[in-house]
Amino acid sequence: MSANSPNPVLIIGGGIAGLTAAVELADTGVEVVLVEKSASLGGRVARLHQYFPKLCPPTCGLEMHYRRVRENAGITVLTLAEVTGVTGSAGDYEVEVRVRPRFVSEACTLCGDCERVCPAERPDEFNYGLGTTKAAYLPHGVAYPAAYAIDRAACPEGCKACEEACKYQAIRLNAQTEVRTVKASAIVAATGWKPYDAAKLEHLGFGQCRNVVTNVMLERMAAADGPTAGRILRPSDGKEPRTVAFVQCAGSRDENHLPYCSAVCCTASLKHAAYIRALYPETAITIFYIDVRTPGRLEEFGAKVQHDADVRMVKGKVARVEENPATGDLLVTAEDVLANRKSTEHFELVVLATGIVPETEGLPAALKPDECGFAGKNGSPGIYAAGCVCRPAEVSATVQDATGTALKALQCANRSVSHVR
Amino acid sequence: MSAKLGVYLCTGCTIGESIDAAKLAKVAGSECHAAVCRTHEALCGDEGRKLIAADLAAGTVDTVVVAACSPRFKPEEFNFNHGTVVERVNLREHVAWCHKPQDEDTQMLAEDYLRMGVARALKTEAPKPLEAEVSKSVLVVGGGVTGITAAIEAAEAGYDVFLVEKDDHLGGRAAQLYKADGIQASVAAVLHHPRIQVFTAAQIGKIEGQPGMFDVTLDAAGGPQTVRAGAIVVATGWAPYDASRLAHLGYGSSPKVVTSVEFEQMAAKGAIQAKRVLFVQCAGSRDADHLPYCSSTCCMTTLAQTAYVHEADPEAEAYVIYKDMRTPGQYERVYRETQAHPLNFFTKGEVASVSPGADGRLAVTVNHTLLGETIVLHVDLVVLATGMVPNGMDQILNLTYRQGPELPVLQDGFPDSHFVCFPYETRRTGIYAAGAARAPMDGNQARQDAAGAAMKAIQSVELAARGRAVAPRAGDLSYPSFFLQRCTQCKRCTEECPFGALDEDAKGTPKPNLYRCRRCGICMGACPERIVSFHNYSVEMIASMIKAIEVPEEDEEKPRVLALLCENDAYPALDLAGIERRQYDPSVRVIPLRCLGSLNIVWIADALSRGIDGVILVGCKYGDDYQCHFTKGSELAQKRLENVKETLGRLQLEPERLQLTQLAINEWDKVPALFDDFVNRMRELGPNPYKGF
Amino acid sequence: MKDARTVEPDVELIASLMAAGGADLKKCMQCSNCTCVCSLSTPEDDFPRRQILHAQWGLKDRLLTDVSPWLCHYCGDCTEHCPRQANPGEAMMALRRYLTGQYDWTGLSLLMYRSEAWAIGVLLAVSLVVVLLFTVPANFGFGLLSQAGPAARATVMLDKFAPKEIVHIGDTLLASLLGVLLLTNAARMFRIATRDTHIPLGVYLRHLPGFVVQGVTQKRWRECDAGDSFKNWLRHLILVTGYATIFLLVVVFLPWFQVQDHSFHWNSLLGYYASAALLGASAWMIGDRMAQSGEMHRFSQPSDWMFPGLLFVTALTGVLLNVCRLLDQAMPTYVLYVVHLAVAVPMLVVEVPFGKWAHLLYRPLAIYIAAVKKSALQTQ
Repeated sequence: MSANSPNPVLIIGGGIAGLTAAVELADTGVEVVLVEKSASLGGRVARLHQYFPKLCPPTCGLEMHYRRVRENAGITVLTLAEVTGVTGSAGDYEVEVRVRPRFVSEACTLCGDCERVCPAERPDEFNYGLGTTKAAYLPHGVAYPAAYAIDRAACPEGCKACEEACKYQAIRLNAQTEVRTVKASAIVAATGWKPYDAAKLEHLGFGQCRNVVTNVMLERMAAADGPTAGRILRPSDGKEPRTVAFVQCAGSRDENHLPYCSAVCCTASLKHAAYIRALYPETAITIFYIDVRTPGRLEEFGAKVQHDADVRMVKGKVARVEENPATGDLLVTAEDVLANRKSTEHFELVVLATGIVPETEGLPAALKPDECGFAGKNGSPGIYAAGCVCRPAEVSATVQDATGTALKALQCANRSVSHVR
Repeated sequence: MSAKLGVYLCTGCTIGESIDAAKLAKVAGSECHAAVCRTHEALCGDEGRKLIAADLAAGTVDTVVVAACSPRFKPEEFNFNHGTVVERVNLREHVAWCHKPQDEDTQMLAEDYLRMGVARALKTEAPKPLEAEVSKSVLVVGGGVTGITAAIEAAEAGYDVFLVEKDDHLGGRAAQLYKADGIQASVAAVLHHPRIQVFTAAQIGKIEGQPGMFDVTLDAAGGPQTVRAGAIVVATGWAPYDASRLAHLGYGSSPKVVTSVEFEQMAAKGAIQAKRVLFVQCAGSRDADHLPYCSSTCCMTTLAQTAYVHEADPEAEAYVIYKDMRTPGQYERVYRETQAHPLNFFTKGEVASVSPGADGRLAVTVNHTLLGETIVLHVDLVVLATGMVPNGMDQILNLTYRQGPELPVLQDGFPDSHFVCFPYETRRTGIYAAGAARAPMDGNQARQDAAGAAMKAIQSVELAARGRAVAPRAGDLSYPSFFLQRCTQCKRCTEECPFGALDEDAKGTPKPNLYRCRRCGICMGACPERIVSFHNYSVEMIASMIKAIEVPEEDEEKPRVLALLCENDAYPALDLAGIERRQYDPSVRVIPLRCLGSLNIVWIADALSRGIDGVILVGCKYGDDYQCHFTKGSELAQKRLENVKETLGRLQLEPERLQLTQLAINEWDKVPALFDDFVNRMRELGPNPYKGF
Repeated sequence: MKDARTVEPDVELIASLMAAGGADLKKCMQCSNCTCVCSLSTPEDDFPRRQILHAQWGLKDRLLTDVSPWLCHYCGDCTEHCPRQANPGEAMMALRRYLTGQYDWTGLSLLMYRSEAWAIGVLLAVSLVVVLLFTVPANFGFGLLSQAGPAARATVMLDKFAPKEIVHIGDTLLASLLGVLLLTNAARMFRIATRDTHIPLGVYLRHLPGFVVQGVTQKRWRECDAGDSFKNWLRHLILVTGYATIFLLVVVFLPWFQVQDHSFHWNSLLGYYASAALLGASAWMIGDRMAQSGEMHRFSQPSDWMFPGLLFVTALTGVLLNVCRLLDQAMPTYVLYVVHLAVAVPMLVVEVPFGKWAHLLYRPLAIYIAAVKKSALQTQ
């Protein structure tokens, strides 16, 4: 450890929280190692079509972050990488990082020849399983790092088509997993979240009724680079739905599933309502809710969407969704509590507003989870959690949290070299 | 200036199959006078880069033009030693991947792009950073929970802090809570921290200067005092919504109607004497006539206060009338636990009136309840859960800025910011709002928010110390210079700068404060005299690129369209269209701009006078939900364009030849239709009559 | 909208409901998942969400006129799926306990629900009366037996122990007493539940057949599509038919039913059915309660155990009594006769008008009331 420059700060997770912490620290002059388990940065937000309340694309902000990452030599990005062990203490951690091979080197030019010759398909994880990609795939259009990756698990035995097709010798199918040791002054865990498994909500029909989708899937459908090229279509027949029901608290606020409120789903569904209405002006939306939760200035956005006569709000939790096998339409049973009227209505598409589950895989052991399973903020001096792994939050609050946590890491780094101005 | 120009053409990624590289090399040599022109099938590979490095090392080349993929890719591969100008020409995403291969028009496009790239390279100088003595101290305004936390967090990171509080003690509203959560310990920590200097009973007389060198005059007990700070955290907190405006809820007409803030004080004094207490949620919030936003904290406050009711009298009942209970995240558990109390009663409803009832009680009428009808409750005390009003951007900072003394406000009294992705950015560089002054939030959030704002403040002083810009062009070394001899004091630049970077002298001549500058170039676009320029971005540079476009004669029936694109969103969208191999009309010549706000109308005049048939500007969405990274750029461009359109008529040109389109980065799928439609309209209008002049 | 109404929560009512099984009802956030998962809840007769709201707020008036707690068959779906774990099924059970107490004009019911000591005390007291009846008088029970000489001790001669004429009189008296109590309670239920609606006579008549059919067949169970509904229907059907049979045999046809000697009689066959039915159904219910199978059985109050428990013991002693009789074991037969009645009578006295048994009448009656109220509202 030199007297003047501290060890880098290690950040686990390249979603919006990890990226924000990385960029804020690097702009301040601290070196950063960003460890991301998938093949590209951006995490969950990269898979969103639009942010609320501005209905603006996440790629806009991500592009700025990527630009900073590209241009700032102080940031090292390790993709397909996971932290497997932490030793040492604040200021001087040794972190073991397992880096899985991408099978594609930096020489990749994005020409796409590998993808064209690849004979194998794999489920498209980026699109939440809606559709497939080739085994040689570009995670998505604005992926960072901008390079293809190869899913070897999906490759046919002995196939070398891509390696042979690559004009730039970027493909090495025999690459091996590497274990690195990274020195770190502080660790920020921003492992993020995952959507609640809708299949566990047996009464809500996901997996049984063809036209029941989740909110995250809807985001992919709405995206121009998504599986339906930006059109929202019923999976059963590819038809544009004329009636859409949103089922709020699908798993959230439920002691049998997630005992907490996922905080974002109300505004997210209102956002979905807004863009579906813009896309299909003839489509009517019904949102079944327990409480509409649009905190702060999101209230004004929510009120604007609810002002639309074709966005109907029904206070009452949906208890049952069943399919009419002949039409693929869905029978939704709920009570309009304010009118004291239980009824079963038909809808052409049902969207489950599934909640946020903290992604605790890869979380350092020092960060003990709370009773809801979210990480505590400060594990030990030097190891901090940031973003949705601490509490369910929308993007702005996540950025706020990550920036504040970055300061904690900065304090730790500065203390370690007694670098005081 | 005689640059030794090296042009390097890449034929990889199907560029070579799409265009004739040899013809392109000829353009480089004969027209662009390149000292060296080399072609390689993978310039970004080791071999290709060595070609360039060798020429640079040999001294045969000092200015490099790489005609290959988009500059958004392979930046490191083409980053040679500092000081070498490297210009990228996008032959892949903007030519080969989106136009017909081996086609005359495609070839013309590639050649134009090369000419334009060379023109740009020749007008580019490597920027040198600003240098000045910079203070790294942080001024924190406000001594409540947010300010205290910001001060401690910044000090703990090794930065000196000045904390200014208008009251004679610290702690703010948190200290007035019945059950304050560790605030006194934080106050003590601030008072004893060696890096924190506290000024209580003090106000800011004025703030002069810029990031890294704010001179702050404090009006304190001992007389005015001046301190120098590098950055400022505004943590002025909140005030409860004025309950006297809530007459329909009985406030003011009965002493038994209090606000939640007053109730907190009653609890602290042990003065709660009521068998029945009714809480009215959203008292003033979520109400078009009062506060349109949700104050976010009142539901949790009320849940806590129901416990005070039972604490004061175990037999007392608490009623909560809500619109929606808002207990996000783990707070939901608090809601459930509070509900479980047998003497807590919750219903959705709207309080219609609070009036004197029997036995000296208050009769509260509630409409639209879950009970299915209008109900009347007779209670002893009504607590209005009044909302949070940001403690304004009014007579706080007293900046001596030309554009005004405080942080600009977007709506509802909260400071303007790009509040989704970059919540801390305000329109005053180096000044960051935190806590309830920025958005409604509770103590826990305010603490985290304070740390975030302190981080941004520290970052801004560190960047200033290195002569670099802050977000959104964080790290940029370039800055504008003003050739003031030609200034006509029109004040457009000082008015239009979204960040208030420019002050004025008495005559109206701009006084640039470069450390406030965000390098968007809006001043450059605003200036009719073209006196503002950057080392690597100038009116002249773009004009020379426009001049580099070859405009075919009228009889060739090949229209030409100039597209000026925001480089932040529209340019990547165009790249994406290329990556997706979307095809569009090859008559369009694209020039990226730092921000559409840097559009100088002289470029339009240049383009039209050269016979270019139309100019399309593509930038970010503007308005309330603006996406412009510089808040106002595309909106300003639209205004300038409207002004130009008026004058077009006098030149016998149709205003339709100019168009501004708002395009988000993910709307790349709309690019082909956008360009095709515009070119087709130009065809319909017929050729620009100025062709050939 | 109705005029504004002053709401005065009955805090004691809330406390008593929470004590009687509704401990978690305050946690309900009114999402209405319960009402929607319930296959018996209809748009017209919706429950349990609304009833729980009324219980949370202690709205006595509304709870009293509402018969829907009886429309609930406690399949437990609502509780299983309640996102708040507010246990709506048990809250409905608590309401039924509360309502049973409210319908009962003697106040005994309420006392017994509130206090286990009271419940057990009453049972033991009635038991004691039965035992005393057989032991104290000289011309009945053991007194009579001692007069009858050794023959009646060597072989079964019920005439010499409990002459059926006397028992029949006792039966009839008891049945009349219980009948009066039950019917007066039912009448109170009727009055309380209909006091918020004017119902024309024609409507009553129109729905009468449905009432009878439900009472006999318990068919509403079949409308419930919860997992255990068939099972629940079946055992309620068995229970009701067993009950009806034994009731008729004991109260109306006792002279014919109670055989005097140890031989087999065809007229006992119905008795065998009734015994088997009651024994089987009660054992089944107890078994489920012990295994806590299904939501319905997760939360048992003493009163829930008491009824099937006593029923089981009654049926068991009845069967044993018959076995002894057939084996011609005279003394055991007589003793078991007393034991049988010492269980059966208190059970009937306590459960029929005041306890859980009453729901066999209240439920069909509630369905009837709900139907007539609905009709009446429609006609209006």
